[in-house]
Amino acid sequence: MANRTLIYSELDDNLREASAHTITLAEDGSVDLSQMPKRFQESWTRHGLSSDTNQLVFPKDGDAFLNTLLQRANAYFRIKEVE
Amino acid sequence: MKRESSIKDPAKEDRISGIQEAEYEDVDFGEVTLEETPEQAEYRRIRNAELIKATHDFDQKISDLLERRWMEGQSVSVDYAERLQDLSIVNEGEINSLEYINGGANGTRLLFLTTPNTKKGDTKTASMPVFEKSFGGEKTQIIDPATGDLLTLRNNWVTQPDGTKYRQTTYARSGDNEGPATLKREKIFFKSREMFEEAYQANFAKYYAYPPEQYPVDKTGFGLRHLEVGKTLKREYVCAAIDALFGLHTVPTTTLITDGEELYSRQKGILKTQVLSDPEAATGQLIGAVIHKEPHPAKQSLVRLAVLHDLVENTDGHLGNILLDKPDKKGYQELHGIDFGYSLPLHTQLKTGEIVSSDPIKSGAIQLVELDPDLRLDNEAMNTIKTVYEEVKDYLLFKSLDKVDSKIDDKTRQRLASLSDTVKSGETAKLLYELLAFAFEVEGKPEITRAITKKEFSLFMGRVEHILETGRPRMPKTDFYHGKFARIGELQEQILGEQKTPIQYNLADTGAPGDEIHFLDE
Repeated sequence: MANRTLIYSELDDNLREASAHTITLAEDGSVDLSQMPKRFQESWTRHGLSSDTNQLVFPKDGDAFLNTLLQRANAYFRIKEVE
Repeated sequence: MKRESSIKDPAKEDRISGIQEAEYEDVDFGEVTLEETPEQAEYRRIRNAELIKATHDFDQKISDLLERRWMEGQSVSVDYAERLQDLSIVNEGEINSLEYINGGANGTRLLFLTTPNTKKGDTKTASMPVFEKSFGGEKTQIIDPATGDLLTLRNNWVTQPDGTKYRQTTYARSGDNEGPATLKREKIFFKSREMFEEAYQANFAKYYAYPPEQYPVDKTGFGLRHLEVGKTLKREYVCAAIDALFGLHTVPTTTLITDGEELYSRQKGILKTQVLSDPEAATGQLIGAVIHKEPHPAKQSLVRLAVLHDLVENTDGHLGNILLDKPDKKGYQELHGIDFGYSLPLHTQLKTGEIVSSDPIKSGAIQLVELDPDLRLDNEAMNTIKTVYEEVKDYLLFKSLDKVDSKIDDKTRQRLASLSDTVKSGETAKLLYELLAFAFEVEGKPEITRAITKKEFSLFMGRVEHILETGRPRMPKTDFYHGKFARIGELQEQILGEQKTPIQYNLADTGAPGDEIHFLDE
């Protein structure tokens, strides 16, 4: 799918969304995290994320990384896809 | 890309899935949408009302039990009065404001609820944040075992002009949906998944001893795990109830509600907290404290959460589903568990006789407790678990007294005779059994539900026994069958990073390279 966009929101103390950061799929197939807070960029490129099939996925994996992010979305980790 | 290469060689696909072209030729697959009939909708409404009634009964029983424990002077981790207050707000609170947090009309909602009896215009009353999850918002992604493709299954609610809603299930491949090659792959997928699930169902039927054709399997309803989609809300509720029953106090108050059409789970929101996968959440400090056996305020709740994950066999306990409080003024922190929807998996028996869960258990908490072999559950939680265990065991023994061939010695008979009436009535044992039956229920098949619950109940009690013996959850290398505990890769990475952290030298003493930099700065 071309041009997938995800939005991550940080929470304030009342659990309301306080900011919005976009995550997009770059042309080379990797995930562009430049809009995300620094701590996520470093952590995800260094340690990766465990996918549902328990493999580590990294931003360079593109679609797989975005899907993992969506699967892990919950009330305290707000991430959603813009359709 | 992987996907492209699998299209180029259709013959290879056929070999992998083992299906001849003729077999899937008649499946007309574009985007499949299933709609429910008016009869099904009516059945669903009645059923939702029944489920809610059952949860209210459970909540009442749990509150009574917690109150009794408190009256008897046993240690209680869960404050029953606070729990009652939470429940009344979560169940009947008035909605102050709400927002959709997961997109679309079917996603999770964040509600701010006030106490039901608040006077209007009373602006000082604080409102409680509550997350409301709906079955309708449930989206499952499925991996095709034949091609490795990702498919998305989504439940939608369509509102009719008269206000009633009906359910629609859409099933589509993620990504582009065009071209004959895609269509063919999807046909293969449908066929292969059916075979895959049939094999699993046969194993379940064999272990739980019921006729395999009796299980009303909706083969389009299985996700990555061998649980039917739509059963997760009930599991979410049961796990929170088990948490309260065993006095672990790690899951926020959770209950089920309905608006007449749809089933929702409501969970109290925890303020000032972060998921463990958030780099800002100081997960590293917690890992470090466990490795180096240093004190950390969240250690006690870590073991409690690990024990809960083991008890309910959570298959989705990754770092994003564990919350760590931001330290308060006194520096106190606790861990909380959320998202227990993928818990309580079914079991199968291997040829070697070992009983294994159908999906691997995944728990960040257990993985952390594993690092320190001396880490034990605190006494308060141990005592509560022991009380529950003994009440259940004593009731079962007491029940077997009537049997003619029961081989119980006189000493035990005397002890059993002097038990309190609440234990003799089997209050705790029945509650626990009914909770498990609620989670494992197969709709319209009470015999199968009973067959599954009976076995699951004894497995559950076995896990409780293990915790009482060792004071710890089961451990990945020793207690789980190979491959039935999935270590979380990203946590493993962080643990390695923490173990390799070099000791910090005093640069002034050692003459390390740091000195030069210091000099240059000046």
